[in-house]
Amino acid sequence: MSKVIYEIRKNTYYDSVTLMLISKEVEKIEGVHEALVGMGTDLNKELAEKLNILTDEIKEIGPNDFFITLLADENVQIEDIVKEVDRMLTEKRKNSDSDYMPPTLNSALENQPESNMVLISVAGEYAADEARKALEKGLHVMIFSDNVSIEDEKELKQLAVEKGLLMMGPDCGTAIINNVPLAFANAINKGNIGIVGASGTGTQEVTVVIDKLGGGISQAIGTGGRDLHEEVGGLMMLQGIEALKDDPNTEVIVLISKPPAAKIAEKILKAVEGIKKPVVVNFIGGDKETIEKYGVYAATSLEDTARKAVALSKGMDVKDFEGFDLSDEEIEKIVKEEIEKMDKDQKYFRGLFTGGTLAEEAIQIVSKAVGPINSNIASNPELKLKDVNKSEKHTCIDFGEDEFTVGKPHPMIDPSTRAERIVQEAADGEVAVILMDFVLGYGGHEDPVGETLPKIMEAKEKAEKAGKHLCIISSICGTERDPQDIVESQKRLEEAGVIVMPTNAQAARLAGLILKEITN
Amino acid sequence: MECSHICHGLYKRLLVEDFTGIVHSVFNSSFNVLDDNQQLITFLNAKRPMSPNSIKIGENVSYHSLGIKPKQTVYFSREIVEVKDSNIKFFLKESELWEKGPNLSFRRDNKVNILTKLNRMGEILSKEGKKDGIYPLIGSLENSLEGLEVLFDSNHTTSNRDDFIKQRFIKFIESYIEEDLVKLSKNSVDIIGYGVGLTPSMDDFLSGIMISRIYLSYYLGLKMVYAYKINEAIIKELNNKTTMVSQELLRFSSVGEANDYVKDLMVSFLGISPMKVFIDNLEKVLSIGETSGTDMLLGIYIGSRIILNSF
Repeated sequence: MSKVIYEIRKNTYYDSVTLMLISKEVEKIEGVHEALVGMGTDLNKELAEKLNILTDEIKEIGPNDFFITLLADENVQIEDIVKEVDRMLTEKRKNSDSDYMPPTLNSALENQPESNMVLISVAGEYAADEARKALEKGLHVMIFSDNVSIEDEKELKQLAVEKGLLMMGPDCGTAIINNVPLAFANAINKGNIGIVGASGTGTQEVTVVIDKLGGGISQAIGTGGRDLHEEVGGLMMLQGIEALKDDPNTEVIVLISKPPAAKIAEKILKAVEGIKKPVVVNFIGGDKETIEKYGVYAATSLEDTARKAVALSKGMDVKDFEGFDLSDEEIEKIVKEEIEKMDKDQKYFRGLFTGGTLAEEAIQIVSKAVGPINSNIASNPELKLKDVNKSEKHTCIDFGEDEFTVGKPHPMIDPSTRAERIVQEAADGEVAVILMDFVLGYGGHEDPVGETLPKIMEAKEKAEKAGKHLCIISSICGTERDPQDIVESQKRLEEAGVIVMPTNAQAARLAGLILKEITN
Repeated sequence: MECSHICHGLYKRLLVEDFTGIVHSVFNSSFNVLDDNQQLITFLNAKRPMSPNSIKIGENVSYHSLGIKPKQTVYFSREIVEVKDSNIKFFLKESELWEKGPNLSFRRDNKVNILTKLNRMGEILSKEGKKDGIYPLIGSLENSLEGLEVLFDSNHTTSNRDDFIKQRFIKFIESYIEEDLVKLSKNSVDIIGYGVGLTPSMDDFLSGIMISRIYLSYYLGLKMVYAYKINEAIIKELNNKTTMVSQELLRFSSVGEANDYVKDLMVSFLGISPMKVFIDNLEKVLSIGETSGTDMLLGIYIGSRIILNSF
């Protein structure tokens, strides 16, 4: 026995491709003898009548109503047909060749229910609400946005801890989770070193050096720069440590942060004390002895952190590294040649950085050679620049700070503000050395070197015309698999007379040697 | 989202008034808004050709994925269109103005070339055209019209489903050839709205017939007023006979207004143009919708045959 079954959807529209697809697929369903799918125009209803599948209900619909009517075996249920039609509709939407841009977290999850992490990059005032929603749904969170209050940050992190989730950020610029680089990150080898980092470019520099040394990363968990502030209490660094401690793919743990509050530093170090896996800690400028008391390895620079981690991951001896890849003779030659070309008035250092932690590290290293350095990121009020647009004596600037990024992209995305500053610094006849970083990788400018080179050349020319020699030293934080071409980038810099060092620490160290030699 | 194009007529309206509309229907590459004059305004993504009364955005975004839903209120103003209760805004400031009217300023090609191109159109339809829409019905015109052989191979068949409408279709075409306006109105009512699709296949076919009437009248130097009258007769009894989207399509087509693909095709068909450009334009029209492109092209083919056969 057969029966007529139908489905009506008032004021519902599907495009022609979909209707045709549904029509063909419904006809293929076992037990369906005749089917008509379409809009309720008079003629389509007339056709249904000719096919003996018109019902009283379909007679009543209008041309803007969608219908399916079938002649099918008794055991065929309209609910099953409708379910199949809806499945086809969802499938078709997913397979559309248009870009998928979910407007809400819910629609994103609807489309991709297997997702377990959310990256939030919205205006800061909305970021906390979005993060809360995600955590409530049991999803790990990375907040790229800044301008989230510290109270919100603490509350979100407490919620994450309760639920056993990660809440990376706010202002978390870097993470590599299950080998997927998130936000600003580089193409790094997979390996057995796990990182928890409270600093973006610090983590990038360490992962890049690990990669160059033949090591690899299991996870790089970002926490956001304020995690180790007293108000937040290092909640996410502790959560990250817990995660890496139990992670079978992680054999060495690395912790990176700008100097934390003393109380929090102690809490973190206590948390790693006794862990069976070796731990390398770099609290930039932190006291080595205090750190080592907890049975962990204290690193003296970002490069040293990477070197120690790789040595430990390969079962090799761990040594401090505070030197150069080049021989002492080669370094001496560079220093001598640079100084010879300089004018007697040239004596000052200018650091122009796109990465905050790289700037911080440069200040730590160069100040050992030249003394106090003024900066927009100085914690000592006496060294804080009065006007960030004007350098004073030895100066180091982080162009990623708010005063340069309000209404503008981060300098790793748009290096133009820093590029202009190179020329400005060159006009100061007392400047001897400019130190710069170039950060490659995902999320950043497609060619930061190419974007900056014209200004470097202009600055060098300007200095030369004034009878000076401007020494520009840089390092490139990147790997050969990054989207930008690191080999070509280095070549172009060197052709323009820039000294390119393998790491930020070595670049800063060289700058320090030159400046120290000048003052002697 | 930045919009790349806006229909000039719509822009002129926005210069004098702000207004609201309600989302009528949403698809991956477009969505329609019904305004307070009960007219549809279509938003297109970058993959779709610009069309009458439309706004096109520069990105290939899926409107489904944006979460736009039927019945949402949409606010239109000179610089921004906002979808209520969402974070979706369309910025019009940088949009290029687009003219919806027929392009009737091309340099006319000679008739020999036009017939060659028409024949090529038939061959491509036969080879690449989708056969699920109006195509099987065209076979019923074999005895009424010359020049259809190219559309079929030797053993084409018609669908049994189309049997009940076959005679009505033939009657419509006969009244179109006769140019009997009264019969034309009566016969078109009997076929409008037939077929699967948001724009039912028959409506796409009629759209093609009407577009070809406007462009060929210009090409042949005929009175345009008469062309508009014939088309007006076809859509005279349109109301409630087909979907709202299709009604709009037919109204636009009756005055020669069509999307960019169709306009480019007509200019390369009747104007001086390399064959490759003409074929590329044919392919673009064929790519519209599931069978819509084929059905519209069949309308252009049959419409052009009818007019050119009589001159």
